[in-house]
Amino acid sequence: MPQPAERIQPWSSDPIGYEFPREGGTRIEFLHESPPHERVRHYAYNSTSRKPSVGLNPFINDLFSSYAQEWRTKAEHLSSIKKMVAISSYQQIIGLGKPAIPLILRELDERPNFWFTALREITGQWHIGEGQDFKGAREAWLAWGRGLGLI
Amino acid sequence: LGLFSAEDLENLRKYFPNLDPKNDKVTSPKTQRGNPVVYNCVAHASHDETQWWEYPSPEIGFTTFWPSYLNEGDSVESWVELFRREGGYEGPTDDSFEKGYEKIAIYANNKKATHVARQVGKNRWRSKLGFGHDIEHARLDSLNGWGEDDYGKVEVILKRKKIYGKRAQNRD
Repeated sequence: MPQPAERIQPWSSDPIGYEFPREGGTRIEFLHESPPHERVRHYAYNSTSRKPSVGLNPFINDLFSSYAQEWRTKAEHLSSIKKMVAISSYQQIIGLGKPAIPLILRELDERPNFWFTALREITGQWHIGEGQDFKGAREAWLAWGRGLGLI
Repeated sequence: LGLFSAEDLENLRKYFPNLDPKNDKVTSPKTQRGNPVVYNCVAHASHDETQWWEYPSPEIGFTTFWPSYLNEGDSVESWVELFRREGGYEGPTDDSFEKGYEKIAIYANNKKATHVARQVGKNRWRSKLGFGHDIEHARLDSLNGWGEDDYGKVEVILKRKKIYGKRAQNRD
């Protein structure tokens, strides 16, 4: 007899205000049971690693993948990062807000690129990467993400 | 390396309709996982493949290289001054190949500097395209384009005497 899915709760706030379950949840909330405006907030814990499992929210995942792909295509040839981050698809990723953070971090880990602006805008952590080169800033953000269990 | 992939060519031609797959070719891979080496065309033209050259801004999120004596980084004048002082370039000159000289061509769109290519031989220019491939193109107008995010056209060409051997390495 399959067990019914348990809702992940209670929610707690981490230092950046991102909401995570206080205890490591072992069940994934059924997204289709949630009203659409809540879906972007929902996140699930992987029961063994206690890391949030990206890919469990197809709504955010699909949007992020689509925007990121469009951004790479439009930004790839530009010489200026300021111009790259002004592209609408990049701004739309920022608009996804905190649920996009693990996806951005994963992207930064797997395909290093200029995601620092989005991370700074969403998290408000403007000091991360300050005074560092690309490699150092990337490592600093990944370390920050690992510290919070986001990747 | 060498030929453009069909996907790359399709994408690049949106911005560079003059790109000629018969004469133009890829000369380096894109940024790879685990090898986050980022440099742009300005760095590439300066023989520096270790850092991104751009006027600093908090929006960027990491430290880029730009000399402090320049108080902006968008105008053609600022790029000319950059290459004059950092690289010893002089000009303006034309796009012909002159033995013993190295030339760079600065592109601009709406009076804003957008790109710089480096001459590597007769009818051979090398460009770093954003965070994408390095390419070699036979003609400077291979990269012409007039959309908002296009390179525009070559605005000025500068040259400097070529330095060979260890002195060149030290200068680069």
